[in-house]
Amino acid sequence: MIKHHQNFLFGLVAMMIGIAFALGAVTYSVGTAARMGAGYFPFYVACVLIALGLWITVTSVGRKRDPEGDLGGLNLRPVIFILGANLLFGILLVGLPSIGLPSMGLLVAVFATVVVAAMAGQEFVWREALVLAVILTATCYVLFVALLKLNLSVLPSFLTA
Amino acid sequence: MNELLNNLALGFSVALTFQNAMYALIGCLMGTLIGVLPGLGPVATIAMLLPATYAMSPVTALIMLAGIYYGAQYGGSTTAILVNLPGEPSSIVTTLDGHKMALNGRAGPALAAAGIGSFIAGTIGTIFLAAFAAPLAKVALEFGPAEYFSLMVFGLIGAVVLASGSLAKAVAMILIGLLVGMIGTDVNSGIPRYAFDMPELADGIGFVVVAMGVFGYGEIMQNLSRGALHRDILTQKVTGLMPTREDMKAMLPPILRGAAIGSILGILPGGGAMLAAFASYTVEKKKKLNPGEIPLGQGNIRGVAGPEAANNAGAQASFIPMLTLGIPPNPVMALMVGAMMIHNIQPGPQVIASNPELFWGLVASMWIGNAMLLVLNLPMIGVWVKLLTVPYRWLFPSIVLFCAIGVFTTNNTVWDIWMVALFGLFGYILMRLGAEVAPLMLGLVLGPMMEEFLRRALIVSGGRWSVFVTRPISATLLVMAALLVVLILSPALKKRREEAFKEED
Repeated sequence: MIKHHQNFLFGLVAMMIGIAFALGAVTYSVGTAARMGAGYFPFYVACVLIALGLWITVTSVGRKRDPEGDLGGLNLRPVIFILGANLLFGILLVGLPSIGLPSMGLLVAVFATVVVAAMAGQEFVWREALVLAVILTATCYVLFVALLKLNLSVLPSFLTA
Repeated sequence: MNELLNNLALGFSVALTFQNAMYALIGCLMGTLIGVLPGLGPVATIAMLLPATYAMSPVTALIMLAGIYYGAQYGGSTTAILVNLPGEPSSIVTTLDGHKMALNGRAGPALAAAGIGSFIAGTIGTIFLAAFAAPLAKVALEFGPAEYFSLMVFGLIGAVVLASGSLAKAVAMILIGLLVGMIGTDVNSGIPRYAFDMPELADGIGFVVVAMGVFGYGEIMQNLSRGALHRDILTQKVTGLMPTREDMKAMLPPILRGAAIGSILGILPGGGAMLAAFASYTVEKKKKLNPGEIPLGQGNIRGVAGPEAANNAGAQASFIPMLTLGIPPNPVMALMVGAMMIHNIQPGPQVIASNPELFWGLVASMWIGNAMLLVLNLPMIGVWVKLLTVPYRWLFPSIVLFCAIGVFTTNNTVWDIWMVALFGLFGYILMRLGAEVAPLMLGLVLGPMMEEFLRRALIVSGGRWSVFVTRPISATLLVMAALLVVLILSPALKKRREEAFKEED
């Protein structure tokens, strides 16, 4: 029986991170205290993390359930759209050669990013998101291209080539 | 004394140049703006603006970024009083009495008390910083690697002891931060660690990327999954801004007490604005009421003036460990360390001597910035209140956009955009598991430094770990760190600490 679900999982995550870093560290030379190798510091820090993670997980097991440790409902909508908008920005700005997508430039990237990010909210309204996207695209053009003169491709590459 | 005056004169000559004064003003305005807007804090803002500071001179960059931090303390109090919603965590206690005052039709004096309190405390904090930084840096110059390592241990332990939530989880977050900081080329051996043969990873993981992912995206996702932010705006017009003579008399002592508390607590690792505000409110609550005085929690002006003074003094005092020791006591200062490194200034005790114009210019700009905030903010209250009506659903897509652009333009590489998404997800998962992300940032910044100092200390001692306890300063620091842990684990204090952080929710 798990008393505190959050702590139980956190401990597991911490242990996993610790094990991964410790395994990586032993592939470099660990060395001794007087002659520390590249793996020395990460190895011992990772060991402490594993021990601490284990302790957190073990102490989260018990009879009485602690309601404060409940995980709560999983709402994937914000995660998908916020991180998706961010990834989309990168893909559209520079293109993705592996699938043959050319660079679409700053304006397209900004517009799409804003619309997709807006979808993360519960009260998404198409018209509002489009208006916001137009305003922000214009702002970005003025700010980054006209004023700051950042070295960014502004238009899609097939239009400028 | 004479030296101090000369130094301050140098500082003002730097801070009062047209360009620096302009950027101080921009920083303060931006800080007030994000302070007013809930869901956007100084950490994410400073991280977003770091790339924009590349082109500036280092002192100008720091002046602007510092303005954002203390400006946010001003803005946070405005929303706390008018909307019962703290724009910044450091204004949480201000809601208790500040909003009650507003409901009683005394929003004006409450805002004035916050503004005047912040200004007086800012002035005292600036003097405190000017007076104590130089001697502290002199002491720190004597530090060897063992002392530095112990100091960092003490700093990190202190930072988590004062943070809310589970101690074990916070320490685990520090360790995770230290490990993430190991990614990249080892300065000593030249071996790329955890790079998987990718040149991008061999360069290490920039803290801008982590800060934006964790604080920028993580915070937005957290806000959105919690549901809409409710904001009931006080629609009545704010009238009678000036406090009465009685108000002035009532608020001056708590302002001075708050400034003292803030200056002292701000230096502590993990300290800064929020802790100072809490401590000040506790002190005011303990004080006996004068006959006829409204009890605290029901709209007493002391409950506004004290904490607001304390959070501003605390914000400024937290620059002391950063500027003199190179050790950031909170995530905002971690970003300031990053800003200095961008401009090839290694933070540490040598900064005051090697870059006096930077140090004293920054100190002087803080006082100027506080004066600007006082003059600008009280008449501009109406504008800030208007801004509160901007709905969050317009705000967060803009933040996402500016984060993405900021990350990309830092190094002009799309790799950073993938990384920021990864750390956003990572931070969100950890937050959902009830962990705080601030310790991770501190670990990340201090990781490579700690490794280097540990290595040097052990080389000198021939591998004997006893070097950390045989050197008096180092031993003292470690004993202090151990005492902190013992204190926090003692049952009596544990209970009180839990209560203290309950109130915050």
